[in-house]
Amino acid sequence: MTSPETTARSGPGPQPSLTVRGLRKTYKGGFTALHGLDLEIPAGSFFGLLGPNGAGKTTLIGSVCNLVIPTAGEIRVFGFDHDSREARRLVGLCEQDVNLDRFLSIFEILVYHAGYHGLGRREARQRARELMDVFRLSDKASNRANELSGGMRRRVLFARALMHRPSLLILDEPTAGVDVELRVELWEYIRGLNTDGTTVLLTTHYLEEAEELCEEIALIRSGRIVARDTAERLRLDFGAADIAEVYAQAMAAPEAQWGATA
Amino acid sequence: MSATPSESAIPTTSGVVDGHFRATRSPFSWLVEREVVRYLKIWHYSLLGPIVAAVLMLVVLGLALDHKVVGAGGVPYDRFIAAGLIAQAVLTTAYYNGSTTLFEGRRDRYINDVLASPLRWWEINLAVVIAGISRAILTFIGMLVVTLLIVGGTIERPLVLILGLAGMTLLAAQFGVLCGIYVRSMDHLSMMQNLVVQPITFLGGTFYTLAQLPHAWRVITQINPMFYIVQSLRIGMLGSGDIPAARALGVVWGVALVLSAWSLLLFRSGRGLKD
Repeated sequence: MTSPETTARSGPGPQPSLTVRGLRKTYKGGFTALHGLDLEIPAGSFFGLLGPNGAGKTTLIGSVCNLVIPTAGEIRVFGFDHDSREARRLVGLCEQDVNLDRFLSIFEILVYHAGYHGLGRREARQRARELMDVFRLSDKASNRANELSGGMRRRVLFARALMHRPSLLILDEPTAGVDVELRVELWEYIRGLNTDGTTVLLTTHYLEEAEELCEEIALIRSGRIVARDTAERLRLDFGAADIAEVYAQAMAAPEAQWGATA
Repeated sequence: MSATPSESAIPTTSGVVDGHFRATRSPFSWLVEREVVRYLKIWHYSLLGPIVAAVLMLVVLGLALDHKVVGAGGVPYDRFIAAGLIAQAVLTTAYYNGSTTLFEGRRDRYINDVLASPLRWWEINLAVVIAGISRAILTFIGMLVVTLLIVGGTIERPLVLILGLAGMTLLAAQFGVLCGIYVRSMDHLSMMQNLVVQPITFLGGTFYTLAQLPHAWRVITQINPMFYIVQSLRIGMLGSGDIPAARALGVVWGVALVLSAWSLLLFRSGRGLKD
């Protein structure tokens, strides 16, 4: 094990925040969601993963976060096996579905989440107050999730994912159904985190959002990465005017051409 | 680990120090706290409900039949059924805690927050079981106090009572955990409660002795784990029962350990909890 100082001095750059090799997932019933998927996300990047419903995005994220049992393959988070406590501690997940503990208040949801990641009570409470302030939830601290609007619940999901200061933040369609004003605010905040060194993995159906935010974009189709590059290079490679056109071409291309630009 | 994790991209505030997870406070203790807070928030339903229901049974059946029916060894009928009613309430409480907390967490998917965290699989299982046991013990204490006030009596064999209580709460909590993993809907959960748990508890010898039953029912009763649970509490409270204390405790702890092993295997594999 090398210390941060040693690594910095000896030259080699940091390991990728996420390394996925040969990841396959076949669900009970025979549906294969991931077909030996390979993916590497550099530390500190803002990475977009685009694909239609059923392409395997959520299965991939679930596998990384130990919510899905992969059939085969290897997943590493900053070099740690994804199943290790270290890897779990380093990942923050904002899920597509609103899944908030209905027995707890918003404040408690945040505090317990921090606790599950090893924070002490004082630090957890302080961090919860800080994030409730950031996401303008302070006056809802004692409310339960079912008493909040959809937008408010989304804010709680964001705050919860950030409670333990993850090094890899995974956002699975986080702005679905969120109004424009909140989206702009959220992205501003997440961009700031990324600037400070947090790696962000984003899946979204808002293609223009991905184009604007992400340094790199991967297109996933039927459980495989079919193209990956910066938005600009993808546009050039596909001869497309924007990322929406790239997406349309990649999703319509015959299977034989998959990976030609990846 | 085949690769050496790079820490240069990991900030010092991450909770991973020198390649190892470091916690200011154990995640396990947080989960235990959350599970206890959950049932305390609904105390009128989770704690008071079972006590009131059992006390009503004791009053209606025990006092009404007290002069007409005599329990084993000449014990007044209300004292005779008290142990069984306590066992019923405790078993149902521990079972219900595990089954509902896991089922609701799975249904609403907020269990993902726990599954994705650094909590180990056995810590999650243990936290849910500890919460179920603590809820059952609170129910037991409440029931015992009320029962002693209503029907009187003393604890004749405290050690048997404690060992029996520990075994039965573990058994019921793990049974609840297993149901919480296997059930697919609220209907399944209700079905388990009405068609499995309730018949088992009512046919477990709460209201009668083995000697009062025809041969076939005697055999059926002795297949039922609830019979041994009731016996261990009855022996603990009254000093004697239909079978020796060692046999009652042996069966209760045997079943509890088998269910624990089954439950732990499921948590280890993630089956039923993860996709």
